[in-house]
Amino acid sequence: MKEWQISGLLRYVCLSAVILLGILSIIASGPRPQQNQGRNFAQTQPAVAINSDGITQEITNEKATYSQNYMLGAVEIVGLCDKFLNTPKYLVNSVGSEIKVSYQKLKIKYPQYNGSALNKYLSQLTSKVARVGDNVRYVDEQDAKLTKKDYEGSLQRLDEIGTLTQEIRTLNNAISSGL
Amino acid sequence: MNRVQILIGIFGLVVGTLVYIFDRSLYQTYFLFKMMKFGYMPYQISNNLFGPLGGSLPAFTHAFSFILITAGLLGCNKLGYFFICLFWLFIDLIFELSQKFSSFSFGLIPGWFENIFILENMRNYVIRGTFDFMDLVFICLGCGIAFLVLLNTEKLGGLEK
Repeated sequence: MKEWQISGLLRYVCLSAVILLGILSIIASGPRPQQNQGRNFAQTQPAVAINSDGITQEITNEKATYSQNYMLGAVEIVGLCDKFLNTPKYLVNSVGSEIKVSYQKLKIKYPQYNGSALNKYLSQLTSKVARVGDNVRYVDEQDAKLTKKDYEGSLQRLDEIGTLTQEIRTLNNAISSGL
Repeated sequence: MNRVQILIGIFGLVVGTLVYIFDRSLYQTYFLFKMMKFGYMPYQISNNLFGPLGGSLPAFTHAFSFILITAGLLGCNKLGYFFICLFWLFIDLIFELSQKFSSFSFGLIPGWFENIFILENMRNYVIRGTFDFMDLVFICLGCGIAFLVLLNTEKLGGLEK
């Protein structure tokens, strides 16, 4: 009699475990977290007003003093920034690194232009690109976490990506027009 | 207890799990992502091993397997089988429909689920999961076929009454 009761009890423990397992397995088979969906980067407005006409004018005025190779180097960076704006998210940091390397090479190769307007705006451009890369990396890190995600921080960084993207576009067009 | 029913149920579960392991990517599924700690490869092994069935087969195998395992453990009669089928049909339908009415379902999920293993994925299941009418069909099919299998295996594999 006692043995039957233990057997019965075990059976119902197993039954409860099966029901729990059944319910948990449904939840575990669901999609894993990913917060950066449904956010439109283009929705945010630029935080800093960029005087694109002024930038174009400044570069145009100094244009005669630049060597042809320096100009070609700047054109390459501008082209890479354009590529950056049209690149898929998973390649953002890769293209960002290309831009950084190209800019560093240009600075080393032509130190005489470090005080130029073109260098100033290329520096601003590459800083913004680097910042977008950092933000993308942060959001990805949070996305990969299963618990204790920084939702608020991720959303702020996504908003900042939107702002920076617009600023990069404006700055890039201004530099490109001046060259 | 009915050993045959339990074994058939476990077999069904294995098939359902294989669909995820072979046909779904790490980035789609919570438990696959968790399996990364055990060296599971980050991309799906095959492109579409189970073909068009792969989409709704897990819904079928889940209902089918858990009905057989539950019935096998209880070792009950036909009426018991019927209620077990109804129970799992209800559970699976509730979860599938929670994806259809995601806003309403989301509001019902308590905040403390966020800190509990597996339950932390409940909100994602509801919000990011996709409601599919075919899943409902396969759940009903799974329950129906499980009931027929139970009737045919009632006399097999009994350890005790």
